[in-house]
Amino acid sequence: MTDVREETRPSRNGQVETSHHPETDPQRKDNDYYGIPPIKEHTWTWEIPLYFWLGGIGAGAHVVTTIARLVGVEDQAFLRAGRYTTLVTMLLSPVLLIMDLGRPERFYNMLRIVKWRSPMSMGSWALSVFGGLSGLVATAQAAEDGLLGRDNFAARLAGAIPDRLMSLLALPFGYFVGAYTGVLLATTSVPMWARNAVLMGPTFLSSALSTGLSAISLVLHLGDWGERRTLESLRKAERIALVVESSLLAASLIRMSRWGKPLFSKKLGPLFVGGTLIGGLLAPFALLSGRESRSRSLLASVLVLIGGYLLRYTMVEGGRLSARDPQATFTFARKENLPLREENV
Amino acid sequence: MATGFLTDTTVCIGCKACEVACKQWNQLPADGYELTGDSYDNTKQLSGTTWRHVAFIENPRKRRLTGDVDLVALAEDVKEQLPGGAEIDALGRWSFMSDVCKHCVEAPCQQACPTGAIIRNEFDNVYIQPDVCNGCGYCVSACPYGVITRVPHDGRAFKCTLCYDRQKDGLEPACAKACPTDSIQFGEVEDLKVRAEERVAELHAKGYTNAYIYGTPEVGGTGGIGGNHSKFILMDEPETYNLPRHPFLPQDKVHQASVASIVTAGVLGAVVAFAFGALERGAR
Amino acid sequence: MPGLGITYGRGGATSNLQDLQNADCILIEGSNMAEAHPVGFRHPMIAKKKGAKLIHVDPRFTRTSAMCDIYAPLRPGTDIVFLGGLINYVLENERYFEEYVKAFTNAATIITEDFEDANASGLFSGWDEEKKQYNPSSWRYEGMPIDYAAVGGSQGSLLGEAGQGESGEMHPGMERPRDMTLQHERCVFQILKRHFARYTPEMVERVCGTPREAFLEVAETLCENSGREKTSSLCYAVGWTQHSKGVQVIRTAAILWLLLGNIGRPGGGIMALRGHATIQGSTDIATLYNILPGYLPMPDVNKEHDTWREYVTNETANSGWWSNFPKYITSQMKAWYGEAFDAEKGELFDHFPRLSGDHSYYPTIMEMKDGGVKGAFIFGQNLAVGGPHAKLARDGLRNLDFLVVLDAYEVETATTWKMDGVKPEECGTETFFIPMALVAEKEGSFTQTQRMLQWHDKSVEPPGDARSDAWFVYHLGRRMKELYKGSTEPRDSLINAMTWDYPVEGEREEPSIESILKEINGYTVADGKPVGGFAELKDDGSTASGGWIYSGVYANGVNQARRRKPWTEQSQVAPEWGWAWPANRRILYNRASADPDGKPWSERKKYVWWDQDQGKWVGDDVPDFQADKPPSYRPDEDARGVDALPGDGPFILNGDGKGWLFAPIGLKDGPLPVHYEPVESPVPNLIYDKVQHDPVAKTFDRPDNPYNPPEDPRYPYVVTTYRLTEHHTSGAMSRWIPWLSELQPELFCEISPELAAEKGVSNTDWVTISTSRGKIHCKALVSERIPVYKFEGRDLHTIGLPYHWGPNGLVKGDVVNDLIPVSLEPNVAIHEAKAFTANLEAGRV
Ligand SMILES: Nc1nc2c(c(=O)[nH]1)N[C@H]1C(S)=C(S)[C@@H](COP(=O)(O)OP(=O)(O)OC[C@H]3O[C@@H](n4cnc5c(=O)[nH]c(N)nc54)[C@H](O)[C@@H]3O)O[C@H]1N2
Ligand SMILES: Nc1nc2c(c(=O)[nH]1)N[C@H]1C(S)=C(S)[C@@H](COP(=O)(O)OP(=O)(O)OC[C@H]3O[C@@H](n4cnc5c(=O)[nH]c(N)nc54)[C@H](O)[C@@H]3O)O[C@H]1N2
Ligand code: SF4
Ligand code: SF4
Ligand code: SF4
Ligand code: SF4
Ligand code: SF4
Ligand SMILES: [Mo]
Repeated sequence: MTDVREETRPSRNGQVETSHHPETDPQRKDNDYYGIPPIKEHTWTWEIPLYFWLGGIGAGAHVVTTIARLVGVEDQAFLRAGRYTTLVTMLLSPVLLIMDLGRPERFYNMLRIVKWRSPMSMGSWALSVFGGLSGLVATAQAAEDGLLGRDNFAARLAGAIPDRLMSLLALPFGYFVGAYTGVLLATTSVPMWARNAVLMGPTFLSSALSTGLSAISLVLHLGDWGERRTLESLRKAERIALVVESSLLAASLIRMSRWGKPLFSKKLGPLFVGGTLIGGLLAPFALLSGRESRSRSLLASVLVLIGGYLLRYTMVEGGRLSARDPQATFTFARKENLPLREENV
Repeated sequence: MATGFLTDTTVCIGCKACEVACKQWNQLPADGYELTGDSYDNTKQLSGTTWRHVAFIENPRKRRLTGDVDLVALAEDVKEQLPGGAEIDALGRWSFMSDVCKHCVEAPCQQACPTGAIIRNEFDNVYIQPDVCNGCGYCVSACPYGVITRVPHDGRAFKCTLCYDRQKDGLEPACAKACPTDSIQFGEVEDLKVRAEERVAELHAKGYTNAYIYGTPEVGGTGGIGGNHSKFILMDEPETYNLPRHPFLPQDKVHQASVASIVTAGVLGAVVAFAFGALERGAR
Repeated sequence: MPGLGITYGRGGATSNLQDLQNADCILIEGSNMAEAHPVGFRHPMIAKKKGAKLIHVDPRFTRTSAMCDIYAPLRPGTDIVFLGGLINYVLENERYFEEYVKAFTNAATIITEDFEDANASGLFSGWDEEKKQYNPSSWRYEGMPIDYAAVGGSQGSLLGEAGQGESGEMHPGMERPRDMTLQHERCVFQILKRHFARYTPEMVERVCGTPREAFLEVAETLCENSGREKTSSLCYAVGWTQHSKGVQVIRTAAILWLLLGNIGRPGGGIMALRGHATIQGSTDIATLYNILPGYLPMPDVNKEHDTWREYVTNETANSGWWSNFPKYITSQMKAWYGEAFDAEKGELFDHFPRLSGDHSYYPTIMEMKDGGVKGAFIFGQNLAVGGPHAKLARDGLRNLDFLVVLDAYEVETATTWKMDGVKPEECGTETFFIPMALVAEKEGSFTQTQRMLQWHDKSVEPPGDARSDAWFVYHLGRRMKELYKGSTEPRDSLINAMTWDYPVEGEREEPSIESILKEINGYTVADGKPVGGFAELKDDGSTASGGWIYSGVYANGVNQARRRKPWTEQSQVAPEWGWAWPANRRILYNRASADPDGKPWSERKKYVWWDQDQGKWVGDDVPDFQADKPPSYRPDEDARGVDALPGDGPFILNGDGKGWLFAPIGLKDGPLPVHYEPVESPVPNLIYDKVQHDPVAKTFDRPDNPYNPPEDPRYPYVVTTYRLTEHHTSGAMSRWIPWLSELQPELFCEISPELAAEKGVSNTDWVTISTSRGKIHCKALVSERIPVYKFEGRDLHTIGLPYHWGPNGLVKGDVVNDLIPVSLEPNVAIHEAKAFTANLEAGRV
C-alpha cells in the first residue's frame, strides 16, 4: 500500500481528500473506491489517550496497594502514595471523558442503561463505581492523615469508613478500568484493533499495572518516603510487570501482523518503537535490573510512565491510520478473520 | 414486521435524485463544493450529513475494432457472430450504486452505543434517537460500513433513519419515492428477499452471470452481522463499491477479550503479591 | 420541429413516453435521455425489462449509454450520415415495411423531371447562387402546380406544428401520378434509393468514425424490431436540433421511421424530448415572434396580408386540415378583442402588428448591440449564460436604455452591468430586477414533451414581493389600458379594444389562471359557455378561442388538464390523466396502426381500427382521423378540406394524407436530407466535396462574430456542449441550491486520456479552451468515456463541455457559451451548440 493515504487529510464531516481517476492515478489500480476509506476513523481527540493512560495509572495504583496490603504490607507512605495517586487520576478521568463528548451536557446518558456487550457502557459504570469507592478510601486516608482536621464530625465520619473493605470492593472495578479501554478499542471494526481483540485488554491492563507501580515509586522516591523493603518490592514488581507487558505486546504485534503496520508508519513508528518499546520497556527494565540508585529508579519510573502514555497514543492513532487504509479493511473483512460463531463457520 | 431496502444497482441511472431527496426531506447541509475528479461522484461517501450516496464506477473496457477505432462500443450481451467477424468483448460499464445505511440485522452501532440512543424501532430499523445521543462517537468506529460520522457543528452522530417519520405516516422513504427507475425498492424485508432472488435469476438468464445479492446472510458475505435490511444487487466485487466482503459483529469479540483480561488480571495480581513478599510473609 | 412537421404534418412528438414501454427496440440518438429526462427514462427501462433492446448513439459514453444494450459512438455533427446509412441499409436489403410504405407514404408518387438530386453538385435543382437560396418549384409532384403563397416568405412558422403553407398545398381531389410498383425511375422511392446509395457502412465509418460493426449492429437490431409484428421507438432532443442542419437530421430520422413502418403505431413513436417543463406549451401558445397561438401565421408585410380578408383568404388551404384556418383565426381575434372585432370586415386587423423581417432571438440581440433596441423585458431566461455567443448577448443587454429581468434568482442576465470587467458607472442600462414566483408558488399548466397539459396547484405563497408572471403581465396590461383610456388615436385602438377582464383572487390580486385557460379553450360568444373542442369553432365571430389546438381542455367547464386518474385505474393509454392536444389524442397519426383496410397490422400491435358494424374508428385512444370516414373512402374531384383526404391517408395535415419521404415544399435546404459538415469543422465534407456546410445556414459575418474556418489548424478539436443531470441549463435553477451544487461543484471539460496525455494534462488539472470568439478556463475530467475518432487515418479529438456555470450563485465557472458562434439552422434559427471547433491548452493561459 502506498503511503499516499497517510497523507490524506480529514476534512469536513469526516470527508477525506480522495485519489483521482483510474486512468490518471496509479493508486486507482487497487480494487478500492478512489482510495476512500470504507469505514470511518474514530472521532476521538487528545483527551482519550490521555484518559486511557491516567485511568490505567489509577487502576494500577489501586490494584498494587490493595493486593500489597492483603499480603500484609503496612507501609503508610506507600499506601498513602497509592491512594492519592488513584484519587487524582479518578478526579481527572471523568473530566477528560466529558470534554471529548460531542454533547458534554448529556454525559449522564452514559448511565441510562447497562449494556453487557458495550465496553463503553460497562466502562462508564465501572469508572463511576471505582471512582466512588477509591474516593472513599482516599477520604479515609485523608482523615487518618489529619487533612480533614482533628476530631471534628467530618473527620470522625471519614475515619469510620471501612477502608480495607472499600478497597477490596473496588479491586475488581479497578481491574476493569485498567483493562476495558483495550477491549473497547478491540471490539470495533477497525482492523488494527479488532485483529488483536484477545490481547488488547491484557496489554492495556499490564501497562496499567506497570504505570501504576511506576507512579507510586516515582512519588515515594521524590519524597524520599517509604520503607526500603517496600521500595525493594516495588522495584521487583515493576521489573516483572515490564516483562509481562513486553511479552503481551510482542504477542500483540505478531497477532496484528500486516494490520499492525500503522504502528511502524512514518508518523507513529518513532513514538511506538522509540518511546514505548525501547524507552518505555527495555530501558527502564535495564535501569531497574542493574545497581539500585534513587536517580535510576526515578528515571525508570518516568520512562515507564511516558512509555505507557505513548502506548495508548500510538494504539489510538494507529487505529485512525488503519481505518484510513481501504486495503486494511478489505483484507481484514474476510471470512478467515470472522469471529467464530455457529451461523457462519 | 421489518422494513428495508432493495437497491438494484443494475437499473440505477446515477441521477442522484435519492441523494437530493434525502437531503431535502431531512434538511441536511451540503458537504461543501469540491470537484473530486472521481467520475461524477463529488460527495464521495456516506456521512452524518450524507445519508444516501451514489457511487460512480467507471470501467469501460477498451477494444480494437476494424476501422481501428479505439473505443467503448457495442452491446454487453452480444454473443452471436458479428458481421466482418469482429471481436466483441463485454461492453465496458459505467456502474452506479446508491449506498445507504445497511440496517444490519445485528447492528454493531446499536450494540456499541453506551447511551442506548441507537435502537431498533417498531419497523425493525436501526434508528438513532437524536434526543439521547451524547456524541461519544463509539458507533462511528463500530460500524463496519463507515456509515456514521459525528457531525462537527452538531456534536451528535447521524445516519439514515429509514425515514422513520415518513413510515409512521405510511409514506415510503423519500429516496425510494424519488427514484425514477425503482432502483431503490422499499418494502418488507421478506418480500424484498424474494424479489431480489427473482431479479438475480432473471439477470442470470439474460447472461449477466456476475449479478448477485449482497445483504442476505445465506448469499452475500454478510453472515457476520446476520445480514442487512438494506440489500443490494451488485455486478462487481463488493470492494468495487467500497463494501467489505465479510463484515463482522465486533461485539462478538467481547467475550474472548473479557476472559483474556480476567486471566491477565489474575496473573498480574499474583505478580504483585509475589513481589511484595507474599511468600515469606505468609511463611511467618 | 419542421423535421417532423414537414414529414408527418405536425411538429410535435408523435407519441408519448409511457408508450415507449410498448417498443421492441428504442433508438436514443441526439439525446442523453437518462441524464436530461431521468424521470421519462423510467419507460425505456421498463421496456428493457420486458426485453426491448436499447440503443444509444452519442459522441460520448454517457449515463444513457451505460443503460443501453448497444452503444455506437459518432463524431458530433454527422448524424445524417449515420441515419442515411440506416436508410440505405433498409432499402438495399429490402427491410422496409412494404405495405405500409406503399399505402401511407408518398413513395409511389412521381416527381417532375425538372428535379435534380444533390448527388452530383451537393446542391439540388433550383439553387439560386446570388440569393443563396432555393426555388423549390422543381421539387414538386408530377403534374402539380405549386402554390407559392403557401411556401411563404420567412417560413418561420416551421417551429412546431407545420404552418399550413408548409403542409404542402396540393390541389385536392386531383389523382396524383403514382407507380404502385415503385419501379418508375422518378418515383420518390427510386429517388430515395439513388440519393442514399452513397451512405454505405464504409462511408459511415469514414465520416462518423463509428465502427462498422457497431453501425451494422444498430441497423440489424432496428430492422429486426420493426415491421408488422414489432415496432421501434426513437428519442431525440437537442443533440440533433442544435446543428446548422438540425431540421434535416430529424427529417432523415422521420423518413427512416416511415420506411420501417413505425409511425402511428404503439411503441413506434418519435419522441422529440422537450426541454423546459412547458417548452412545448410556449410554442403552442406562442412566445415565438413569427406565429400566433396555435401555430397560426403571423401577419407579414411581405405577404398579401394588407387587409383581414386578404390575410384570411391567402392563408387558408383548400385541402387538408388547414382549410379550417378562418375558424381558428377569427375565434382568436374574438377572444382578444371581443365585441370590438368584426368578423366580417375585421377593421381592427389593420392596426395589428405585422412581421417586417427576422425578429428571432439572435438578430434581435445583434440589434440591441447595434443600438436598434431601446429596452427589453426578460421573463425566465438567463441569456447572459444560456444563449450561445453569450458575450455578444451581454454586450447587447449593456447597450439597452432599460432592462427588466423577471426571475427568481439574481441571474447573470440581471447583473450584466457589472460583468466582464465593466465599470457599473459606465453602463448606461437602467436595470430592474423583479422577483418572480416559482412553479410551486402559483397555479398553472405545463405542456410537456408529449403535448400533454398537466395542471399544478399553488402549494405555498411566493416569498416577499415575488408574484406570478401572470400577475405582472395582467396588472401591467391593466395599467396600460388605464393610460390609453380615452385615446382616439387609431394606433391605440388595439390596446383599447383588448379584452382584459380576468377575475383576480386573494389580497395579492393574482389573476385567475383558470379563466385564462377557459379563454384559450374557447367559448360561444353569446352565452360564454366553453366549447367542447375546435370542431365547434366558427368563422362567423360566434365563437372565441385564444388557441384552437388547446380547444377541449376546458370542455364542459371542467379543467381537463387537472385530471389525475392513475394509470393503474385505466387503459395503458391513460386518456384520463391530464389532457393532450389535439383533442386528447395520445398517439398521433394512429390511423396508421391499422392497415389500409382498417384492420390492425397485427394482434400484438393493435391500437386503433375500423369497426365495420359501428361504422367508426375505435380503440383505447382518440382516433387521429375523421371518426366515421371509412378506409375505403376516396375524395372526388371537387372535395374540399378534410373531405379531400382519402380513407387511407393517416397524415391528415398533409395535403395528400401521406407521410412525406420526399418533401416537395416547405424546407429551405432541400426536399431530401444531405450531409454537410458543421459550419465549424476540422475536416472536409467527404460525401459532397463541393459543399462544405449547409448552403443556407444563417451565418452573420460581423467582427464580433468570427468563425473558425473549416480545417483551421489553430482549432483542431471538436467541441460539443450538453447538460448534466445535476444542473439545469444556465444553472439558474440549480447553482443557487446547495444540494444540487455540491453534486457538480464546478465547470469541467471531458477529454479522452489520449488527448490528456498529448497535452500533458492529468485529471482535474486546469485547461484553457479557446475559439475565435473567446476563451474559458476549466478543470479537465479525463475519461475513457470520451472516444477518440479516426478520420482518414488521423486522430480526431472531441471535447465535452457542460454549460451550466456562470459568475453568480453558490458554485461558479466560466461561461461556456462565450465560445460559441452565432451560426443558425436556416428553417428554425437554432444555434449550432453541438458541434464547433476550438483549441485546448494545458493550464490557465
Ligand atoms: N438535468 C437536466 N435535464 C434537462 C435540462 C437540464 O439542463 N438539466 N435541460 C432541459 C432542456 S432545456 C432540454 S432542451 C433537454 C435537452 O436534452 P438533451 O438533448 O438530451 O441534452 P443535451 O445534454 O443538450 O444533449 C444530449 C446529447 O447530445 C449529444 N450530442 C452532441 N452532439 C451530438 C451530435 O452531433 N449527434 C448526436 N447524436 N448527439 C450529439 C451530447 O453528447 C449529449 O449527450 O434537456 C432538458 N432536461
Ligand atoms: N452551449 C449550449 N447552450 C445552450 C444549450 C446547449 O445545449 N448548449 N441549450 C439551449 C437550450 S435547449 C435552452 S432551453 C436554453 C436555456 O437557456 P435559458 O432559458 O436562458 O436558461 P434557464 O436557466 O433555463 O433560464 C430559465 C430562467 O427562468 C427562471 N425561472 C424559472 N421559473 C420561472 C418562473 O416561473 N417565472 C419566471 N419569470 N422565471 C422563472 C429561472 O430562474 C432561470 O433564470 O439554453 C440553450 N443554450
Ligand atoms: S450499517 Fe452501520 S450504521 Fe447502519 S446499522 Fe449497520 S452498523 Fe449501524
Ligand atoms: S455517538 Fe451517539 S449514537 Fe453513537 S454511540 Fe455515542 S451515543 Fe450512541
Ligand atoms: S430512507 Fe430516508 S433517511 Fe434513509 S436514505 Fe432514504 S431518504 Fe435518507
Ligand atoms: S434515484 Fe434511483 S436511479 Fe437515481 S441514482 Fe438514486 S438509485 Fe440510482
Ligand atoms: S426535472 Fe422535472 S421534467 Fe425533468 S425529468 Fe425531472 S421531473 Fe421530469
Ligand atoms: Mo431546451
